[in-house]
Amino acid sequence: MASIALQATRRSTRVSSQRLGLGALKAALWVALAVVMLFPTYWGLITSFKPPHELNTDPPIFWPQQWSIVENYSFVLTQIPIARYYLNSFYVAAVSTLAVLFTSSLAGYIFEEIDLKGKEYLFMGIIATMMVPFPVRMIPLYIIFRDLHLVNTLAGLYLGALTSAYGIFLMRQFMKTVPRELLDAARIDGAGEFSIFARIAMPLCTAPLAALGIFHFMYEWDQFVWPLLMIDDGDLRTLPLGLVAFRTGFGVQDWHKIMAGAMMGMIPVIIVYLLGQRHFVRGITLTGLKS
Amino acid sequence: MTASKAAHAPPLQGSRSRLSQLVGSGPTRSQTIFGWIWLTPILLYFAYFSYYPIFSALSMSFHRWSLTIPERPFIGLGNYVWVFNDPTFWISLTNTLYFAAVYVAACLVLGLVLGTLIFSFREPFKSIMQTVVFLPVMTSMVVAAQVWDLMYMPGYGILNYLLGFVGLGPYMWLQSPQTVMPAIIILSVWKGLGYFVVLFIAGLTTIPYHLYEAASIDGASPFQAFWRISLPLLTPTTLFCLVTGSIGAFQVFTQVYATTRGGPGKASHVLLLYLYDHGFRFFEMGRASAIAFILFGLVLIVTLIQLRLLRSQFQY
Amino acid sequence: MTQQTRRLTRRESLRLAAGLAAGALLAASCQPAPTPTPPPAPTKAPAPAVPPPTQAPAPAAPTATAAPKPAAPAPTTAPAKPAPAPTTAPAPAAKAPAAAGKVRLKWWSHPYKAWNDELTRQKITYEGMNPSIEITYTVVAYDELYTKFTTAMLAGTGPELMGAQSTMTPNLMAGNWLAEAPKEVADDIKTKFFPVCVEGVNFNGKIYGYNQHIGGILPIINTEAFEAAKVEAPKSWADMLKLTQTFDKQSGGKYTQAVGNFPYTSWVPFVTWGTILKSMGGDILSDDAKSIALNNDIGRAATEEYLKYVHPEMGAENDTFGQGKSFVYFRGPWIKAFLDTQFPKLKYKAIPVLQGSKARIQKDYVWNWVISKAATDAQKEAGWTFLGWLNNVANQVSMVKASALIPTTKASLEHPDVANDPWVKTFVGELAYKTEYAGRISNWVQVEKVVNDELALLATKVQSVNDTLKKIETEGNKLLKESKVFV
Repeated sequence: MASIALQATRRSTRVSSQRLGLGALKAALWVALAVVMLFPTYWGLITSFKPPHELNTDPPIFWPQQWSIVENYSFVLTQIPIARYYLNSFYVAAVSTLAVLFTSSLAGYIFEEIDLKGKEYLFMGIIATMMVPFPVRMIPLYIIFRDLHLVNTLAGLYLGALTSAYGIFLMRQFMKTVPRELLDAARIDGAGEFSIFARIAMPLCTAPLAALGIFHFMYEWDQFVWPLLMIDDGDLRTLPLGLVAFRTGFGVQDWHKIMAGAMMGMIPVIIVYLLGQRHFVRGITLTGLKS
Repeated sequence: MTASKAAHAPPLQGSRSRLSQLVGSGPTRSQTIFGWIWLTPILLYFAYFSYYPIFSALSMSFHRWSLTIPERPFIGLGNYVWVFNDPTFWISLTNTLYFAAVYVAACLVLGLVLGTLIFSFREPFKSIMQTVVFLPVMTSMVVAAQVWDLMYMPGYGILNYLLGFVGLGPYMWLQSPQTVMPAIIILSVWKGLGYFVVLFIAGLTTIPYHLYEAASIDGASPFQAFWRISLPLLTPTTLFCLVTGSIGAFQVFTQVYATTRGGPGKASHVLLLYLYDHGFRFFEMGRASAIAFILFGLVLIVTLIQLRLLRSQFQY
Repeated sequence: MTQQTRRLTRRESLRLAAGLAAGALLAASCQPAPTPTPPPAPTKAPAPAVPPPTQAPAPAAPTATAAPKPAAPAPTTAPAKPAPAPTTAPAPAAKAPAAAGKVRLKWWSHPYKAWNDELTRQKITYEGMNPSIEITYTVVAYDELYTKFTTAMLAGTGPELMGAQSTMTPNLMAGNWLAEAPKEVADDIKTKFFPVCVEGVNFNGKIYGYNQHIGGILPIINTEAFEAAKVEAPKSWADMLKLTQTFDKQSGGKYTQAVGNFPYTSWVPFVTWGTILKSMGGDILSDDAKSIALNNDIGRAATEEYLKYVHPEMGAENDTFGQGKSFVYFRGPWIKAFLDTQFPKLKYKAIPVLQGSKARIQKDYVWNWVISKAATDAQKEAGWTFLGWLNNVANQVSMVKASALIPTTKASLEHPDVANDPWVKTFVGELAYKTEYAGRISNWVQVEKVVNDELALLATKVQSVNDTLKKIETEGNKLLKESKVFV
């Protein structure tokens, strides 16, 4: 996997003890980085295991003296129909992600590989939509969905997110690295444009597709304000809306319960990430370009 | 088009243009048909779900559009003039620019360095480190910001407690106008870094392996390989990270909203918070829209500069 | 490699199918709006007298409640509708099918568990007694409640019943969004409710809702700390200052009372400072609510006094008080549940209003139930009846027991269960101090933000007392120029 040059360096580290010390220092730095990156998440997790009276103590409690995992998590599981919320969230995020992967890679391919008149302007027009903050579009967009009779439906949550300017931009940038010689060779063989896209361009873009899939799924999974506007019925709530029930209001927070909910909310995202991560490990090296 | 494309992939330039000549320089008819057939629904989608609301908002910005007033009189550029005369706008603008500059620079540099290093790792360390760095991205921003708020708490927060062992602090973090922006930037970099790392790793996977082999045979050091091969070939990725990172950074909101609400005073007030306050706390939607389009203009200019700079920078 | 390609192709074909379906659907739904120019709502410049155009179609709007084809209509049917944007003033709203049997009401409020549980229980009881009424109670995140309100009301899909704080009520009233109470209801409210509470819904002599509970802010003291120091609970601000010095000495010059942590609780500096100001005879707004004059002797003295209690370096007041680091802090009755669970060892109590030269306090808010103007006549009628029932003595008293929120009718305030509970009783006693409401002016939220922002800069030693007061004056007066005042 690693580049040969870097492997060579690593091999030579074994030679001198001075380099060994350097290696230890490097390892220590990586461990330090890992600790810094993990600590806040650890703190969130450990908070979700604590009883209320161990929450905001001075000095802080790093390892609960009294565990309250069962109480906190069973509270979350019993107080709200969490399975229902999971399902709603997953349905919305999955439909939207699949649609976005398809539309983004296709549009990215067309924008990058096919010379259409005025496409740069169209492309810039799509990118520009990212620059208008969502809060001002919210009300007009809500009115559109009202007229489509989609307020208070799950379709209203994903129908506005079937394509993504961000995704199109991302896929176009990565299509730039697809060697055109491969595409042209297929064109000479008489392959249709769609099959060139699907059979040649797409397999070369598994890593960016995985990245986009993860990002978009996370983005949709984490959506709060739009579902808040759209959904009134308890049955149609997504997970972030459902978890609001643990905010007690009046500036007082039940941190242990909020964190228990938040940790449960993270699980699907982690799963999607782990599924997608395989595609980062595999790269273009497998699909080969040795000719 | 071919020229600009080739500019991003110098080592392949020769073979690419030669084959393109064989096929013909322009797009074939079937290509054009394919392109428009698939692009049209996507463009219509954007027209309906993005441009239509955007133009509605644009129209709002020319009206006195307040929830508390039943009428909606046309006032031309009145909202824009009002915003430009409001000192809070200028404070928010300064804070936003400060945030965007530091956040994007930190994430790009750290992301590129960490991404390259992690990419060169052997398994399982590669996957482990990538996951570790990406874990903060997977947490919800509201929750992450609240955890950091607890950690930052002066008096009994963990951060001051731990820094105390090293002889630093105590700092007021989010409670002091001097430290609030750095504190928010630290939390944002922690949260967002993994995103950049993953994108750079994804970019590195698309670089043909044989280029590194060739460099290694020529006796190039890892640093040279990074500088001569990875960096130029990562230009599309870097450009993407820069542009989307900046667009995101200019719209920084959730972490500020969930921790300080712009305080203490207006020390961490940012543009989107300013917009949100006017739109949904003061119910002055016309002003909120005006703020949005000022922000839009700003981001558009920054993006165009970035696109131009990075294109010319790596023109071969 | 070949295997991999084939697998991906299969996956692609699935995506292709999904995409084709989506594409067709989109192409269909895009039909009505090829020209993005006409905005939906705002451009009603020529006819200013008409209420917001988007509001009008409300009852006719095809929400789940009124539409003949409710819920999940297939999106493909959408294009059959004419142009989506109601650019032109829509036809006068057809009366919803009131005769169709059940009256359905949407009711929105914010989350506070004890309170929500009790309201839901009362709602179910009411529905049991009145089978012809169906109420959907929806809890919306507190911070985003008004975001949802605003959007839904503008689109005409808003709830018929909603909760609105006293700072929000004047906004809604000024924007012509609220239904006025019919005469008999208004008279009922005026006679039965405690006068201070009625002010929260009384604008220019008209009543716009029922108030359900009132927020009182009182000093809460750590009784153990007081016993240990062998001192009495303070009765006046002068006592308080002496106590501050006593506790300062005992803790080695450390902590007295924490008013820090501006983020979540931005109303706290305002409430504490405002209360001190009022106790000295000052006020934030002038009597006619048209100007702010603070840079005077009283304003300066009150602000200096306030500074003695502010310790942002301590962290959040809830926690420092719970950890026993501060001997007093200011909060409302609802805080009891929090303190009891998070700090089970803490002994505390609320004490009566501190006396100054003038015994007045800054009131935080009143919670009102209001009815949307867009509701049908049948819905309005059912709504007023329900709200009246919801605020009868029995329900208000059981709400006090469930949530420690202070009730609003005279009869429930005198009810033995309320009058004898020491915690609640102290907060009820506070109602005797006549207070002015924040909700007198239409943009109070903005004024309050100015006050809080400048006080935060003062507390973090960025600016002096004089500069703080001057800035509040300038900024505040600018805002008051464009505000509406209600009496």
